[in-house]
Amino acid sequence: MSYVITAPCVADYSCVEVCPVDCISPMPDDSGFDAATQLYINPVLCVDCDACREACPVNAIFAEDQLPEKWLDYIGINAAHFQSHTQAVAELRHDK
Amino acid sequence: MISERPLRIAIVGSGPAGMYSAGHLLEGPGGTFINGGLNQIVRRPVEVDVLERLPTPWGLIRSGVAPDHPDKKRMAAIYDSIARRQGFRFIGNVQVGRDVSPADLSQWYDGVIYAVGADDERRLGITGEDLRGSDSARAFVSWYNGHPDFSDLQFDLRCERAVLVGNGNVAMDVARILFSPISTLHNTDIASYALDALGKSQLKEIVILGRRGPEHAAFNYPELMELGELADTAISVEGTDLSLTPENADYETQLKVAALAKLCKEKSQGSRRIVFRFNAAPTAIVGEGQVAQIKVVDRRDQSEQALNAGLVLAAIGYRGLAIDGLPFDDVRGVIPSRDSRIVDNGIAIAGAYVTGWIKRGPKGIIGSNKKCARDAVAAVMADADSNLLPMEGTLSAAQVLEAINARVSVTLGFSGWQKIDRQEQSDGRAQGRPRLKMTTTGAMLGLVTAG
Amino acid sequence: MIAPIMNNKRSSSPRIDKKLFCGVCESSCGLVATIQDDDLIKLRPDPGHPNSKGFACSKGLAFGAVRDDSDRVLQPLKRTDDGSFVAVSWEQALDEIGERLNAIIKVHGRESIGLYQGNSVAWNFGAFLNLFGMAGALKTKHLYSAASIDINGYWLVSQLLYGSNFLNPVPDIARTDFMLCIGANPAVSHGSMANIGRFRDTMLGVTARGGRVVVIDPRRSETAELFEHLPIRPNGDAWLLAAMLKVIFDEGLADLGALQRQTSGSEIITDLLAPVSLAQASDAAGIPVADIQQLARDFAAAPSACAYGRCGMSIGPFATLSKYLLDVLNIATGNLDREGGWCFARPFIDLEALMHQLKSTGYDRWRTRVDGFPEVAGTAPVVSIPREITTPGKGQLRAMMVIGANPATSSPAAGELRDAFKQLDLLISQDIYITETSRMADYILPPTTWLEREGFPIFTQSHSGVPHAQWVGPTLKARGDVRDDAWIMDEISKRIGIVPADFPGAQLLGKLGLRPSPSFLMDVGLRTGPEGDWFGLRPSGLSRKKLLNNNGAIKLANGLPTGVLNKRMFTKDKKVNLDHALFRTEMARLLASSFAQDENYPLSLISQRELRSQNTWLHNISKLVVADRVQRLRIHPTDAARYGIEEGDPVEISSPYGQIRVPEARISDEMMPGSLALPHGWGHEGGWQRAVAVGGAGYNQLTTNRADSADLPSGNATVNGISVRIRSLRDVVEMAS
Repeated sequence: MSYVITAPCVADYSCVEVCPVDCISPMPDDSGFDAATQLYINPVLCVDCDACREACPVNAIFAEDQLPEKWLDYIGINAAHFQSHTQAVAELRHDK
Repeated sequence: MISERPLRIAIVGSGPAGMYSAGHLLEGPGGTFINGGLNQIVRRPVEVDVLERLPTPWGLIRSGVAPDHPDKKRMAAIYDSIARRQGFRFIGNVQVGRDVSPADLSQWYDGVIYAVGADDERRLGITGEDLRGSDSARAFVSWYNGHPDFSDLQFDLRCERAVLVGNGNVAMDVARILFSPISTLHNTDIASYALDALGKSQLKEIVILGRRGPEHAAFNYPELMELGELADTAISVEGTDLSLTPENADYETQLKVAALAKLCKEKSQGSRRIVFRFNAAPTAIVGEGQVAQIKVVDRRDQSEQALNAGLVLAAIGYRGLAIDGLPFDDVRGVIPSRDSRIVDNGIAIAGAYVTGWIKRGPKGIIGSNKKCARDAVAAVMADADSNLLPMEGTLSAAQVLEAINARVSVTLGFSGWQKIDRQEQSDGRAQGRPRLKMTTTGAMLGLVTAG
Repeated sequence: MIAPIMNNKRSSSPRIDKKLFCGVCESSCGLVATIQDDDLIKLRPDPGHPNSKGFACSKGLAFGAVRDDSDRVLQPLKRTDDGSFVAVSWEQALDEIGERLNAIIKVHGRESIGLYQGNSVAWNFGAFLNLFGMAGALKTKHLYSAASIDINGYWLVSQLLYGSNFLNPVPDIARTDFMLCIGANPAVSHGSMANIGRFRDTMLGVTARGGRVVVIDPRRSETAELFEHLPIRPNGDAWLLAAMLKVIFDEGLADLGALQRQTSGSEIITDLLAPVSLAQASDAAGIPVADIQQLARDFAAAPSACAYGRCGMSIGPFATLSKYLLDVLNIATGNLDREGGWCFARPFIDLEALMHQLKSTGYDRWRTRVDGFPEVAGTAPVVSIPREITTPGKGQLRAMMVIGANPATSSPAAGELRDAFKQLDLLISQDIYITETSRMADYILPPTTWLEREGFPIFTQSHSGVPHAQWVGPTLKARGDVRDDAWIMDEISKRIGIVPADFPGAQLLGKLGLRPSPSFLMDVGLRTGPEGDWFGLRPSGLSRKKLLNNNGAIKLANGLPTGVLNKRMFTKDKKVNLDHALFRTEMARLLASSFAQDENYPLSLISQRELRSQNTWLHNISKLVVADRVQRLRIHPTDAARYGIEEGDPVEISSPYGQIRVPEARISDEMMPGSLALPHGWGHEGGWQRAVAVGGAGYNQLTTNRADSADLPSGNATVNGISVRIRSLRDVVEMAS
């Protein structure tokens, strides 16, 4: 399982502050941060500790098993951020 | 030599950039996330005054975020918690540049952070822009959100078509609000008069114009997907072939275009319609006193078409507004700065800082301002540690309030805002709504000064 | 894109991965430490750990910051006359402590020396053994444990029912069809008295299989959010359980065969239930009769079911009775010792048997001097400490060693305890920080953390859902001049002429200069036990050396064993002994008790665990206090309106025993009307600067240590369901500013 960041994300990065394994990206000093439209959780590194969900001020984070149906696509969207461009796009096209 | 007294910093503006600045200045015990980890950036006591031109705080959280985005509005709770920290003071209903000058502030405080946001908009620059029925999306958003400066506007929605120029998230918000069921909006804090006007809406079609192709569309994925949730609303695309989006376009673009294509397929029927029109530039707005048509040119073949419309809203970007007494970059619409320090002809002004949209221009989302504010605060603290702040003659908290009250007949503190907040919530409860916003400064100040 | 490193120090030394287990909570998750040059590069969950399977939480993973904390005490400190501390050598500190203890012993006897263990000792086998050993050698009755503000009722019930304090059944959640979860919040706490890896996910597995999980809690907790929630009034648990049993027996739903087969004395159940009225129970618990009936029927009808309960039912005035009824519910529905039920785990070192052989378990073998509480597992209750210090007479408590505990905050009526501590002739604290407690000590002796010492999960191995074995050496070199708790206790013991061990002949061996180390003793226990290598006779078996050489935990079985009741019982008849007079007394006490709220204190306060907090321990770590970390009182909107509380208001809470000021109110319908929840463990003082800066108020200023307010059979403090009143300090604060 993993945790997943969804539509309400405003990139407040309280989640980054509390994440024990630094699996949320972009971090504020990463080059992509200023243009980011949301933050993403690396599903490979996430340890399911729940800290980000609790810290999120806008309730944007869910355990994958509690994800509202309308945001199921954010599983792929979070994962894609950590994949190569080719792989991410291939999976996107396959899904759609 | 480090002075024993607390550093006294003014923050101008209580929107996200201003409140995040206050949060960083009044740093929590966990420290600040910087350079990949948590570090203390404030190592001395600080007092913060947040000066706000309205009686109400939180900037665009209150007047910009769409009323049907309650999750995002929850950011107010974070700022509220910051406002309760030791050393924080809110002074509402004070406009810097009118009631007090930047020169006053730099005299009264050790440092000043300008976080005034973008109080203006970019204009279309075409004829007919000033006709009745043509306005900026910023004005429309501020209107439905009950901003006192916009609450006396009138938007007549008894027409069949509205045209939104620009396809960013503001256009998405406006389109969604225009087509949301009144029963849904009733459960939000949208201004009552806007609810009434929307109740009388006869709009059947919203056309969203984008100058370039879908690969340059400015909206984000979540905001697009929300249009797909509107009942009985068809979504279509004109002026492009979505299947031609380049393979090498970035993931987010491909995600958005694929989603738009899917929406068009799945939402082909409906008594109302949202049309994304790409490669389309407005050339003129036509009408006799009131908008009747908008002329649009197809930028692929330069063909022109006139669309009948009763409402045209320009959603092509916010823009910063100059403050009397501070330098201003008129091209970019920002206060010029270097590493958050305000510069005048390339020379830093001691103790003057800038953050948020008035520093970076109107880009980024709410949290982008957290990092921006962090950097401004880091600059303030670095200058304080290097004795670069003009600390001579700084006034005490009480003296500042006295000086301000000598110039403004009514100011309010945080408890004044809380009074407004409580009133709005209890008025809302009475109508089964989360909040009934007060929409005039007079009413707010009346409540605060009464008893 | 990802910043993978916590430590930027350049080094050409190789990085090595060492597996260990977490010593923060009873989840004891498997971890992997990446180490370079004695620096901890990172801590990560161990995906290969049989029980935790790649899960760990932000607390354990942040523990490197505890080890490296700049506020940590790194050499022995001695308090000076002006209250400040000076660093002294170990030799000086230990010698002076020895002299002072000997002087106290000379006048007041060994029985005037007290020992207090915090729950960190549960992951510190050396300290655990030496602590009980010291108490035994001193023959002092002043052995106190944080368990008596937490879980004493469990030790008592297990002694009476199963014959050993330490034999406690655990819920077989991985295979159950119905889990009843009373007053526990495993989604946040990660479980207690049940070492279930990935506890939350394991519970979600129940519903995924088509089973049910019902959460009983005054608060719609993070766990309740995931499952069915039935709100209950604080301390209504005994009533609910009694009523459920009443329904089960009245409606013929009990498994009489199981009772016949597995228990003796089951006649007591009908006697106990006879006077129970569903209507009265419903009033007391705040749960409609029909809901209680349905719950009882569903629980009894489930092919397998387990009822599990923790703090919500273990720190109230009827904690022992509640725990008894919980076990009876499991047993009477045929769920004891069966798949999906209430099972006995398989520890790799059979401590239950060892403790039984050493006669180290028991109940009411003696009573406390002042309050007359029965001992529980050789310990006296924390509530009695102030009176044991201030009441003169033979056996008066004159000196205290506090090991890994912060009773100045965590004990009930914390203020009284602090006052009493000031009257001690000597207070010694073994702690890594200068805390509210250690700042009062004459000496602070800084121990290693679990990252720096040898360890095996001595406590949680007995409750593990997936039986496994792990024994690790020190993961990192000890920082500064800190020493293992066990070593410190042994050195003090030497100086007062004892061996910190309670087995026969230990003191004699000591006279011969032989002091068997805790690890030696435990190795013998392991090697001669059911999983042992019998010193070579069974080469496939385990030994300390074998485990130390194995990087990671060894799985012993896929799940909890079943059908082992006869083998595990320590009772004479090898059955569960249900009939004890004290349960009759307790049921009578429950039925006679008043559950009406005092009109002066109309609300009922419960304590709350938060995700990034562990009682009082971890509040000095940036990661764990960053991001809007404010102590907030949870209150239902109806109560907020009634008492004039607005969201974010500072709130004054008053109980008959004290008053605190909580920084902010959070209004939420997660609370049951009439009840309030407040995170405990806050309001720090001392040298842990961040913890102090976070602020907040001490929950235990509101609680009482009155003997008659405790759970009488176990002496466990009542810290839940405190009667309080509240008022907003909004206007008071405004006037002040």
